[in-house]
Amino acid sequence: MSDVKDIPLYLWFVLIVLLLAQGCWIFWDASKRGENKWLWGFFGLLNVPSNLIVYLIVTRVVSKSVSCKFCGKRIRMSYKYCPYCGEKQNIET
Amino acid sequence: MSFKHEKMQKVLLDVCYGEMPMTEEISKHLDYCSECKAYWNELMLLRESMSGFNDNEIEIDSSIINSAFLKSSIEIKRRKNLKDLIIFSVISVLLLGMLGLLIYVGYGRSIIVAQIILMFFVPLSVPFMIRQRIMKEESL
Amino acid sequence: MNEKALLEKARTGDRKALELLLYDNYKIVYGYLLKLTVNEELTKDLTQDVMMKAILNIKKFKGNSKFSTWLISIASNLYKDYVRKSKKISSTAIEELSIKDSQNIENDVVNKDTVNRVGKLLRELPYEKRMVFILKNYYDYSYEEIGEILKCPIGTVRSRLHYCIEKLRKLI
Repeated sequence: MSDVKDIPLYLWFVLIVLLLAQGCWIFWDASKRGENKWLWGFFGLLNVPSNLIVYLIVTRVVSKSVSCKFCGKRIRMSYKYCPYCGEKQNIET
Repeated sequence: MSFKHEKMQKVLLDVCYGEMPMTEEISKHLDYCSECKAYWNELMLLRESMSGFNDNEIEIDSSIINSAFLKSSIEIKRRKNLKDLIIFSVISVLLLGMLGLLIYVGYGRSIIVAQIILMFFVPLSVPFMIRQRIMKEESL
Repeated sequence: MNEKALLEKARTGDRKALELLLYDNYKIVYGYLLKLTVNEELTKDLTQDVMMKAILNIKKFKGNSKFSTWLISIASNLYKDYVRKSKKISSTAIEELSIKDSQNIENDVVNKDTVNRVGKLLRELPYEKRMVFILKNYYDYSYEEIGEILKCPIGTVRSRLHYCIEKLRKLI
Protein backbone atom coordinates (compact mmCIF):
# COMPACT_ATOMS: atom_id res chain seq x y z
CA MET A 1 0.00 0.00 0.00
CA SER A 2 1.42 3.31 -1.03
CA ASP A 3 0.18 5.20 2.01
CA VAL A 4 2.61 3.35 4.27
CA LYS A 5 5.56 4.58 2.27
CA ASP A 6 4.14 8.08 2.49
CA ILE A 7 4.34 8.11 6.25
CA PRO A 8 7.04 10.66 6.91
CA LEU A 9 10.17 9.49 8.65
CA TYR A 10 9.76 11.81 11.59
CA LEU A 11 6.50 10.13 12.63
CA TRP A 12 8.32 6.82 12.92
CA PHE A 13 10.93 8.61 14.97
CA VAL A 14 8.24 10.00 17.27
CA LEU A 15 6.81 6.51 17.68
CA ILE A 16 10.19 5.10 18.68
CA VAL A 17 10.81 7.92 21.14
CA LEU A 18 7.37 7.41 22.67
CA LEU A 19 7.99 3.68 23.01
CA LEU A 20 11.33 4.36 24.67
CA ALA A 21 9.87 6.91 27.10
CA GLN A 22 6.96 4.62 27.90
CA GLY A 23 9.21 1.63 28.48
CA CYS A 24 11.55 3.57 30.76
CA TRP A 25 8.73 5.15 32.77
CA ILE A 26 7.01 1.79 33.27
CA PHE A 27 10.35 0.24 34.29
CA TRP A 28 10.98 2.97 36.86
CA ASP A 29 7.44 2.87 38.22
CA ALA A 30 7.48 -0.93 38.46
CA SER A 31 10.79 -0.85 40.34
CA LYS A 32 9.32 1.56 42.90
CA ARG A 33 6.22 -0.58 43.39
CA GLY A 34 7.97 -3.91 43.75
CA GLU A 35 6.65 -5.23 40.45
CA ASN A 36 8.72 -7.29 38.05
CA LYS A 37 10.36 -4.31 36.39
CA TRP A 38 12.09 -6.16 33.55
CA LEU A 39 8.90 -7.89 32.43
CA TRP A 40 6.81 -4.76 32.58
CA GLY A 41 9.59 -2.65 31.07
CA PHE A 42 9.83 -4.71 27.91
CA PHE A 43 6.06 -4.97 27.83
CA GLY A 44 6.02 -1.19 27.76
CA LEU A 45 8.24 -1.17 24.67
CA LEU A 46 5.77 -3.09 22.56
CA ASN A 47 2.87 -0.78 21.97
CA VAL A 48 1.91 2.73 22.84
CA PRO A 49 -0.39 3.80 24.43
CA SER A 50 -2.48 0.71 25.08
CA ASN A 51 0.24 -1.14 26.98
CA LEU A 52 0.65 1.82 29.30
CA ILE A 53 -3.07 1.80 30.04
CA VAL A 54 -2.96 -1.95 30.64
CA TYR A 55 0.01 -1.54 32.99
CA LEU A 56 -1.68 1.23 34.95
CA ILE A 57 -4.92 -0.70 35.31
CA VAL A 58 -3.31 -3.97 36.34
CA THR A 59 -0.90 -2.48 38.87
CA ARG A 60 -3.15 0.16 40.39
CA VAL A 61 -6.18 -2.09 40.78
CA VAL A 62 -4.35 -4.79 42.68
CA SER A 63 -1.40 -3.41 44.69
CA LYS A 64 1.38 -5.75 45.69
CA SER A 65 1.62 -6.51 49.35
CA VAL A 66 4.55 -6.62 51.74
CA SER A 67 4.94 -7.66 55.35
CA CYS A 68 4.80 -4.89 57.89
CA LYS A 69 8.30 -4.63 59.36
CA PHE A 70 6.97 -4.30 62.89
CA CYS A 71 4.08 -6.76 63.30
CA GLY A 72 4.59 -9.02 60.28
CA LYS A 73 1.05 -8.82 58.91
CA ARG A 74 0.65 -8.43 55.17
CA ILE A 75 -0.45 -5.00 54.04
CA ARG A 76 -0.68 -3.11 50.76
CA MET A 77 2.59 -1.60 49.64
CA SER A 78 1.12 1.86 49.25
CA TYR A 79 -0.02 2.06 52.87
CA LYS A 80 1.82 4.69 54.92
CA TYR A 81 0.72 3.31 58.28
CA CYS A 82 0.09 -0.32 59.21
CA PRO A 83 -3.62 -0.82 59.92
CA TYR A 84 -2.83 -3.56 62.45
CA CYS A 85 -0.09 -2.13 64.63
CA GLY A 86 -0.19 1.50 63.55
CA GLU A 87 3.54 1.89 62.95
CA LYS A 88 4.76 4.20 60.24
CA GLN A 89 6.11 2.40 57.19
CA ASN A 90 9.06 3.76 55.25
CA ILE A 91 7.74 4.59 51.80
CA GLU A 92 9.95 5.27 48.83
CA THR A 93 8.56 8.11 46.75
CA MET B 1 49.95 44.17 75.94
CA SER B 2 53.35 43.95 74.38
CA PHE B 3 54.22 41.72 71.48
CA LYS B 4 56.24 39.39 73.71
CA HIS B 5 53.23 38.80 75.95
CA GLU B 6 51.02 37.99 72.99
CA LYS B 7 53.51 35.42 71.80
CA MET B 8 53.78 33.96 75.28
CA GLN B 9 50.02 33.72 75.57
CA LYS B 10 49.79 31.81 72.31
CA VAL B 11 52.38 29.40 73.69
CA LEU B 12 50.44 29.13 76.95
CA LEU B 13 47.35 28.21 74.93
CA ASP B 14 49.27 25.37 73.31
CA VAL B 15 50.57 24.18 76.67
CA CYS B 16 47.14 24.35 78.29
CA TYR B 17 45.70 22.09 75.63
CA GLY B 18 48.54 19.64 75.59
CA GLU B 19 50.15 20.61 72.30
CA MET B 20 53.40 21.65 73.91
CA PRO B 21 55.09 20.58 77.12
CA MET B 22 55.42 22.94 80.05
CA THR B 23 59.12 23.72 79.90
CA GLU B 24 61.21 25.22 82.68
CA GLU B 25 61.51 28.42 80.69
CA ILE B 26 57.77 28.87 80.54
CA SER B 27 57.14 28.14 84.21
CA LYS B 28 59.92 30.53 85.17
CA HIS B 29 58.27 33.21 83.05
CA LEU B 30 54.96 32.54 84.75
CA ASP B 31 56.62 32.97 88.12
CA TYR B 32 57.71 36.52 87.50
CA CYS B 33 55.18 37.79 84.92
CA SER B 34 51.86 38.59 86.58
CA GLU B 35 50.02 39.33 83.33
CA CYS B 36 50.84 35.99 81.80
CA LYS B 37 50.13 34.24 85.08
CA ALA B 38 46.67 35.82 85.11
CA TYR B 39 46.12 34.69 81.54
CA TRP B 40 47.19 31.17 82.43
CA ASN B 41 44.76 31.11 85.37
CA GLU B 42 41.99 32.38 83.10
CA LEU B 43 42.68 29.55 80.67
CA MET B 44 42.46 27.00 83.46
CA LEU B 45 39.27 28.57 84.77
CA LEU B 46 37.76 28.57 81.29
CA ARG B 47 38.41 24.87 80.88
CA GLU B 48 36.83 24.24 84.25
CA SER B 49 33.68 26.25 83.56
CA MET B 50 33.10 24.95 80.05
CA SER B 51 33.13 21.34 81.19
CA GLY B 52 30.02 19.59 82.46
CA PHE B 53 28.72 18.55 79.06
CA ASN B 54 29.33 14.91 79.83
CA ASP B 55 28.93 12.35 77.07
CA ASN B 56 28.47 9.49 79.51
CA GLU B 57 25.08 10.80 80.61
CA ILE B 58 23.68 10.34 77.11
CA GLU B 59 21.14 7.56 76.65
CA ILE B 60 21.57 5.38 73.59
CA ASP B 61 18.45 5.56 71.44
CA SER B 62 18.42 2.32 69.46
CA SER B 63 15.55 3.50 67.25
CA ILE B 64 17.93 6.02 65.68
CA ILE B 65 20.38 3.26 64.79
CA ASN B 66 17.61 1.02 63.45
CA SER B 67 16.08 3.71 61.30
CA ALA B 68 19.56 4.53 60.01
CA PHE B 69 19.83 0.92 58.81
CA LEU B 70 16.34 1.11 57.27
CA LYS B 71 17.09 4.36 55.47
CA SER B 72 20.37 2.99 54.16
CA SER B 73 18.73 -0.14 52.74
CA ILE B 74 16.16 2.04 50.98
CA GLU B 75 18.97 4.16 49.56
CA ILE B 76 20.86 1.07 48.35
CA LYS B 77 17.69 -0.20 46.65
CA ARG B 78 17.15 3.17 45.00
CA ARG B 79 20.69 3.22 43.64
CA LYS B 80 20.31 -0.29 42.28
CA ASN B 81 17.05 0.64 40.56
CA LEU B 82 18.74 3.62 38.97
CA LYS B 83 21.57 1.46 37.69
CA ASP B 84 19.09 -1.07 36.26
CA LEU B 85 17.14 1.74 34.63
CA ILE B 86 20.25 2.83 32.78
CA ILE B 87 20.91 -0.73 31.64
CA PHE B 88 17.29 -1.05 30.55
CA SER B 89 17.35 2.16 28.55
CA VAL B 90 20.50 1.10 26.74
CA ILE B 91 18.94 -2.25 25.83
CA SER B 92 15.74 -0.48 24.77
CA VAL B 93 17.62 1.92 22.53
CA LEU B 94 19.26 -1.07 20.84
CA LEU B 95 15.97 -2.92 20.39
CA LEU B 96 14.15 0.14 19.11
CA GLY B 97 17.09 0.86 16.85
CA MET B 98 16.57 -2.57 15.31
CA LEU B 99 12.90 -1.73 14.94
CA GLY B 100 13.83 1.48 13.18
CA LEU B 101 16.08 -0.49 10.88
CA LEU B 102 13.25 -2.84 10.00
CA ILE B 103 11.02 0.11 9.20
CA TYR B 104 13.72 1.63 7.08
CA VAL B 105 14.22 -1.58 5.18
CA GLY B 106 10.55 -1.60 4.33
CA TYR B 107 8.69 -3.65 6.90
CA GLY B 108 6.71 -0.61 8.05
CA ARG B 109 3.41 -2.13 7.02
CA SER B 110 3.80 -5.36 8.96
CA ILE B 111 4.83 -3.40 12.00
CA ILE B 112 1.73 -1.23 11.87
CA VAL B 113 -0.43 -4.34 11.47
CA ALA B 114 1.31 -5.94 14.46
CA GLN B 115 0.74 -2.82 16.53
CA ILE B 116 -2.96 -2.77 15.71
CA ILE B 117 -3.31 -6.44 16.64
CA LEU B 118 -1.54 -5.83 19.95
CA MET B 119 -3.69 -2.78 20.63
CA PHE B 120 -6.80 -4.95 20.45
CA PHE B 121 -5.74 -8.17 22.05
CA VAL B 122 -3.59 -7.08 24.94
CA PRO B 123 -6.35 -5.12 26.74
CA LEU B 124 -8.48 -8.26 26.49
CA SER B 125 -6.08 -10.05 28.76
CA VAL B 126 -6.45 -7.44 31.51
CA PRO B 127 -9.20 -9.28 33.42
CA PHE B 128 -7.10 -12.44 33.38
CA MET B 129 -4.05 -10.62 34.68
CA ILE B 130 -6.06 -8.97 37.45
CA ARG B 131 -7.63 -12.27 38.44
CA GLN B 132 -4.24 -13.97 38.58
CA ARG B 133 -2.83 -11.23 40.79
CA ILE B 134 -5.77 -11.33 43.17
CA MET B 135 -5.39 -15.08 43.49
CA LYS B 136 -1.68 -14.68 44.16
CA GLU B 137 -2.32 -12.09 46.85
CA GLU B 138 -4.96 -14.25 48.54
CA SER B 139 -2.64 -17.21 48.68
CA LEU B 140 0.06 -15.25 50.48
CA MET C 1 35.75 -7.94 70.35
CA ASN C 2 38.06 -5.11 69.50
CA GLU C 3 37.42 -2.42 66.97
CA LYS C 4 39.71 -3.72 64.22
CA ALA C 5 38.08 -7.17 64.23
CA LEU C 6 34.57 -5.66 64.21
CA LEU C 7 35.57 -3.41 61.35
CA GLU C 8 36.81 -6.32 59.28
CA LYS C 9 33.54 -8.16 59.82
CA ALA C 10 31.46 -5.08 59.11
CA ARG C 11 33.29 -4.48 55.85
CA THR C 12 32.36 -7.95 54.65
CA GLY C 13 28.68 -7.19 55.27
CA ASP C 14 28.15 -8.46 58.83
CA ARG C 15 25.27 -6.29 60.01
CA LYS C 16 25.61 -7.27 63.67
CA ALA C 17 29.23 -6.17 63.73
CA LEU C 18 28.36 -2.83 62.15
CA GLU C 19 25.49 -2.37 64.58
CA LEU C 20 27.85 -3.02 67.49
CA LEU C 21 30.35 -0.48 66.15
CA LEU C 22 27.60 2.12 65.87
CA TYR C 23 26.37 1.36 69.39
CA ASP C 24 29.86 1.73 70.79
CA ASN C 25 30.35 5.11 69.16
CA TYR C 26 26.81 6.45 69.56
CA LYS C 27 27.55 8.53 72.63
CA ILE C 28 30.55 10.24 71.07
CA VAL C 29 28.69 11.17 67.89
CA TYR C 30 25.57 12.29 69.73
CA GLY C 31 27.56 14.22 72.30
CA TYR C 32 29.63 15.98 69.66
CA LEU C 33 26.56 16.95 67.63
CA LEU C 34 24.71 18.10 70.73
CA LYS C 35 27.55 20.44 71.66
CA LEU C 36 27.77 21.59 68.08
CA THR C 37 24.09 22.25 67.44
CA VAL C 38 22.78 22.85 71.00
CA ASN C 39 19.44 21.54 69.71
CA GLU C 40 18.13 18.10 70.67
CA GLU C 41 15.87 17.55 67.64
CA LEU C 42 18.56 18.52 65.16
CA THR C 43 21.06 16.33 66.96
CA LYS C 44 18.77 13.31 66.65
CA ASP C 45 18.29 13.90 62.92
CA LEU C 46 21.96 14.49 62.27
CA THR C 47 23.01 11.45 64.32
CA GLN C 48 20.71 9.31 62.20
CA ASP C 49 22.17 10.79 59.01
CA VAL C 50 25.72 10.22 60.23
CA MET C 51 24.96 6.57 60.95
CA MET C 52 23.25 6.16 57.58
CA LYS C 53 26.28 7.59 55.78
CA ALA C 54 28.57 5.35 57.78
CA ILE C 55 26.52 2.28 56.83
CA LEU C 56 26.49 3.23 53.14
CA ASN C 57 30.20 4.00 52.98
CA ILE C 58 31.66 1.45 55.39
CA LYS C 59 33.63 -0.24 52.61
CA LYS C 60 35.36 3.05 51.83
CA PHE C 61 36.72 3.42 55.36
CA LYS C 62 40.26 2.08 55.33
CA GLY C 63 40.78 1.87 59.07
CA ASN C 64 43.87 4.04 59.18
CA SER C 65 42.24 6.21 61.84
CA LYS C 66 39.86 5.46 64.67
CA PHE C 67 36.28 4.69 63.73
CA SER C 68 35.05 7.46 66.03
CA THR C 69 37.28 9.99 64.25
CA TRP C 70 35.76 8.99 60.91
CA LEU C 71 32.26 9.36 62.33
CA ILE C 72 33.13 12.79 63.72
CA SER C 73 34.39 14.00 60.35
CA ILE C 74 31.17 12.76 58.74
CA ALA C 75 29.21 14.60 61.43
CA SER C 76 31.19 17.81 60.88
CA ASN C 77 30.57 17.70 57.14
CA LEU C 78 26.87 17.00 57.57
CA TYR C 79 26.56 19.93 59.94
CA LYS C 80 28.38 22.21 57.50
CA ASP C 81 25.93 21.13 54.76
CA TYR C 82 23.01 21.74 57.09
CA VAL C 83 24.18 25.25 57.91
CA ARG C 84 24.69 26.09 54.23
CA LYS C 85 21.24 24.78 53.37
CA SER C 86 19.55 26.75 56.11
CA LYS C 87 21.43 29.90 55.07
CA LYS C 88 19.86 29.52 51.63
CA ILE C 89 16.34 29.38 53.07
CA SER C 90 16.39 32.82 54.61
CA SER C 91 18.00 34.77 57.40
CA THR C 92 14.69 35.19 59.22
CA ALA C 93 14.28 31.45 59.35
CA ILE C 94 17.57 31.15 61.19
CA GLU C 95 16.42 33.66 63.78
CA GLU C 96 13.30 31.61 64.35
CA LEU C 97 15.43 28.50 64.69
CA SER C 98 17.56 30.02 67.41
CA ILE C 99 14.53 31.03 69.43
CA LYS C 100 13.29 27.47 69.20
CA ASP C 101 16.77 26.27 70.14
CA SER C 102 16.74 27.99 73.51
CA GLN C 103 13.35 26.49 74.29
CA ASN C 104 14.73 23.07 73.47
CA ILE C 105 17.65 23.49 75.82
CA GLU C 106 15.24 24.52 78.53
CA ASN C 107 13.06 21.44 78.19
CA ASP C 108 14.83 18.46 76.74
CA VAL C 109 18.52 18.28 77.44
CA VAL C 110 20.12 16.18 80.15
CA ASN C 111 21.69 18.30 82.89
CA LYS C 112 19.76 21.52 82.67
CA ASP C 113 21.83 24.14 84.48
CA THR C 114 25.36 23.52 83.28
CA VAL C 115 24.26 22.51 79.81
CA ASN C 116 22.06 25.59 79.61
CA ARG C 117 24.92 27.86 80.52
CA VAL C 118 27.59 26.13 78.47
CA GLY C 119 25.23 25.75 75.53
CA LYS C 120 24.47 29.45 75.44
CA LEU C 121 28.17 30.23 75.51
CA LEU C 122 28.94 27.74 72.75
CA ARG C 123 26.24 29.21 70.54
CA GLU C 124 27.95 32.58 70.68
CA LEU C 125 30.80 31.12 68.65
CA PRO C 126 30.45 30.92 64.86
CA TYR C 127 30.13 27.30 63.83
CA GLU C 128 33.53 26.74 62.17
CA LYS C 129 35.30 28.02 65.24
CA ARG C 130 32.91 26.20 67.54
CA MET C 131 33.89 22.90 65.93
CA VAL C 132 37.58 23.48 66.67
CA PHE C 133 36.89 24.41 70.27
CA ILE C 134 34.66 21.39 70.90
CA LEU C 135 37.13 18.96 69.34
CA LYS C 136 40.01 20.40 71.36
CA ASN C 137 38.38 21.09 74.68
CA TYR C 138 36.07 18.11 75.03
CA TYR C 139 37.69 15.43 72.92
CA ASP C 140 41.40 16.26 73.19
CA TYR C 141 42.18 15.89 69.51
CA SER C 142 45.55 17.30 68.47
CA TYR C 143 45.79 20.25 66.10
CA GLU C 144 46.91 17.86 63.40
CA GLU C 145 43.95 15.54 63.90
CA ILE C 146 41.52 18.46 63.96
CA GLY C 147 43.07 19.73 60.74
CA GLU C 148 42.45 16.35 59.13
CA ILE C 149 38.89 16.12 60.38
CA LEU C 150 37.94 19.64 59.29
CA LYS C 151 40.19 19.66 56.23
CA CYS C 152 42.01 22.85 57.12
CA PRO C 153 45.66 23.69 57.84
CA ILE C 154 47.03 23.54 61.37
CA GLY C 155 47.59 27.31 61.44
CA THR C 156 43.87 27.84 60.84
CA VAL C 157 43.05 25.43 63.67
CA ARG C 158 45.28 27.36 66.07
CA SER C 159 43.89 30.75 65.12
CA ARG C 160 40.31 29.51 65.40
CA LEU C 161 40.99 28.11 68.85
CA HIS C 162 42.57 31.39 69.84
CA TYR C 163 39.51 33.26 68.60
CA CYS C 164 37.23 31.03 70.70
CA ILE C 165 39.30 31.51 73.84
CA GLU C 166 39.35 35.27 73.39
CA LYS C 167 35.59 35.41 72.83
CA LEU C 168 34.81 33.11 75.75
CA ARG C 169 37.10 35.07 78.06
CA LYS C 170 35.01 38.17 77.40
CA LEU C 171 31.74 36.32 77.92
CA ILE C 172 32.50 34.50 81.14
